[in-house]
Amino acid sequence: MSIPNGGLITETNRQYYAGAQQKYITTAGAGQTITSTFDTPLIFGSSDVSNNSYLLNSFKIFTSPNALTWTELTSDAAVSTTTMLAPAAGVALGTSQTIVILIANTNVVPGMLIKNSTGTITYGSVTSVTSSTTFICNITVAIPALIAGVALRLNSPSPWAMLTANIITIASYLAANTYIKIQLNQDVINQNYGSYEYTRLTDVIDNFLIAYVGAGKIIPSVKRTDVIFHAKRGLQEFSYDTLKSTRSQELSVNNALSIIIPQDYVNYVRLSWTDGLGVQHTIYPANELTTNPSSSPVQDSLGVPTQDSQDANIQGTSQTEAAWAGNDPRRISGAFKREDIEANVLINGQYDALLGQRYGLEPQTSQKNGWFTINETEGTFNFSSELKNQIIILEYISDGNAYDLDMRIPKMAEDALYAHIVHAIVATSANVQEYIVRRFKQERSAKLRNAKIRLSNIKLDQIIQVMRGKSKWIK
Amino acid sequence: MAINVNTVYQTVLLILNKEQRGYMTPVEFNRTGEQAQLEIFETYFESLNQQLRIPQADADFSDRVTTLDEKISLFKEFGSAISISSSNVFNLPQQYSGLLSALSLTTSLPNTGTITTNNNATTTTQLSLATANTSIQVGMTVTGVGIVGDVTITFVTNDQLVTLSSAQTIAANTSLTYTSPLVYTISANAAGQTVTANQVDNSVVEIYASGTLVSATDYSVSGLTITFYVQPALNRILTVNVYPKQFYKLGSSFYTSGALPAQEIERVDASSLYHMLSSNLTQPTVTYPIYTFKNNQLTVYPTSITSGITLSYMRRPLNPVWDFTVSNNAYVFNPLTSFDFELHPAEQTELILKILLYAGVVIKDPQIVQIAASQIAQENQNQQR
Repeated sequence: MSIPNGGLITETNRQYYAGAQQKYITTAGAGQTITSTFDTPLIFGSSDVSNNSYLLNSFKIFTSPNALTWTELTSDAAVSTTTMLAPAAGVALGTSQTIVILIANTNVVPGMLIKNSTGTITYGSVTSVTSSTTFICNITVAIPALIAGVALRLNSPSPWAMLTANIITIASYLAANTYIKIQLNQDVINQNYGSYEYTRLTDVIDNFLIAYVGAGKIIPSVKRTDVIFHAKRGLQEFSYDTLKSTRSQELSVNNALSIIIPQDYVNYVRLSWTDGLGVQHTIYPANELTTNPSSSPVQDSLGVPTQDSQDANIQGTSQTEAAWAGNDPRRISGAFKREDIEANVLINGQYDALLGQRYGLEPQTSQKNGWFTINETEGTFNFSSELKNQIIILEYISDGNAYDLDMRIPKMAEDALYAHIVHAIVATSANVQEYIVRRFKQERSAKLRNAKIRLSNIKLDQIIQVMRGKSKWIK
Repeated sequence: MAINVNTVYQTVLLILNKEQRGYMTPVEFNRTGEQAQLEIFETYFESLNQQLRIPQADADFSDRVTTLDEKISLFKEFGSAISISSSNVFNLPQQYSGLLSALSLTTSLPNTGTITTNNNATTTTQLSLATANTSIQVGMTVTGVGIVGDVTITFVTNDQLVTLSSAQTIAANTSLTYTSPLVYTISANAAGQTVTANQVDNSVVEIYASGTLVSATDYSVSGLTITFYVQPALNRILTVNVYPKQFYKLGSSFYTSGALPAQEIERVDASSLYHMLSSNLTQPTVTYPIYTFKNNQLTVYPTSITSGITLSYMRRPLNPVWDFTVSNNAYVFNPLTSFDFELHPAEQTELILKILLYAGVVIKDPQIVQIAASQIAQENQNQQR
């Protein structure tokens, strides 16, 4: 079904796949509008490509005579730029100078800048259009007496604008029987792909208020703020252990052996380094091996911390951190050189030479992938020295509330979120019988369990593939 | 839908006269009528609250919540809140003060008739009439033999030379029909009084065609423009009465920005405002804005919202007016300057009883008061059982 027809899908095929929405211009003129019906609200900075805010735009505007060949509508585009013949006598300075041209030009609209033919001198701007041959202009640089027939160049510095949300007003003159198109930027299109998998938190809140709150229901009235609070808290809790909300960053470990904790970080899932084949090798937390002390006060000869002129303890450099950064991890792990082993290469010669000589290893520290610690004081992950200049993959979880786009819940867990909100509200309301609270507590628990099972993505084919190993002979 | 003020007054007089209790003057009636109407109106909200807590019968005409809502719906309004100096503080939809009496704003004469072209045929936009006609006006539509498409009069010279909106081929001595447009603009009345489009939008409008009330379903009013769905009869003088709406209760508030979906604005009190503004999870956003209501002004948060606020609100019923002219030393009802009770027609009985109750007080007859009070009590008991 290509056209939305009352279901949950509200974008056309073109809007979803191509990120484009077009409109046929039936009547010529300036100031026409096109209203965006994308699910994603448009972001507008400027339509002037020379303005830095142009980079803020989440979309571009195109025009076309036939809906096949499209041209971006910028201040230099054909539609927003036109030429006219300058009056032979020139035009003096003035805020309401009348310019009469010989050949009618319907493309001239108020706001256009009047320039010389090469665009190097700006004479002023058009303030109003009397007719297709007569314009009232604000001339700030006198137009010299020119030989009749020399062209002036006019362009709209801002050929279009979004004056109110999602409504684009085209300042330029558009001819009849042409097309105008909103084209989303590729990153915006990508963000929208797969969005049907989710329900936005705003929809959850609205749906909850409609379906669960009202006269004759368990919750006769509730402040919307309470629903927002519990919905966001629910999303946070679900993010930690139920949702597939793992984020990841690929980073390079610098000479200081540290990377900064991401802005939306809540907890890590895994840190790993990648080898030449792109295979991940898990890096383990140093845990009991070392730590990053939160402070290292300088002490006097009696061991008492000393203070600076502001009465605060003077901080020194951590000797533990320095020692850890400078150590050879192989002295702890007894490992082979990490470089010798890649995911699909096993250099048997190395193993064979040491066969039977490696008894008594501490299993907890017998690994070759390196260690990391979390330095809470500086907000960094710190790594052991063999990971210097390695590519690190940091997988972590956020809380689903960091950015607007995060505030959505997989449809598999939507019902669990409703159950969470209703339980949270009845549990904190006065005069609700305890058995009702318990009922919703159980409902929340059951629905959350269902959501976890659904989101764990256990597929029959994968189980079969794993179970094929059962018939393998163990020698 | 309203209760005819003359019917109520005559019924009250009839009962009073039958009981030989005395006479109630129009002034007394208007005052007690206003009091009775407000009293009934005030009971709606408490009754609705009470009924919402009781399970209702889901059957036509018996659901008390629906019935009450129907009575209240007559006074529900939508209006745009007006930002003060482009800030996040908004005034209520425009409440224009002034006399409750009617402003008589007379429009042009709606009429229709025939014109005849002279001895010359035409193929242009110019049409010469055989005789001058002072009734023809710019904007009128012209139909007849030779006229193709929607043709209107764009210019009239000396009541005889007519310019049409498009060139037509019309034979000599052809009879054509002209008709007034269905769209009129409210202009100043004879006394020079004017109203603005905003005032009209925030008022109850009544239109009389030469003294006869035009059904509200026959026209719509938007700003100063009246569009008739049914052409008023020939040569009627239109009188437009504009009664300002008086704000009573604030309902829901909405914020609309461009083509984005409208969002309801939540009302909060001052004590929770500051906690909400500093809370990281519940601070107001343009998706979920909030407002405080103080001194008939809304302060909306986040403060970036400076326009696009629409309010649903309840207005007070307009005061009833039984107006009259004096003829042969008798009061003669004048419908043109009178105004009906705005309550739902179902309230007619209770309204009359309440006015009778006040009439009993006015004429100092405890028996009338007692009878009326007992009837009202009985009715209320039935409604709330």
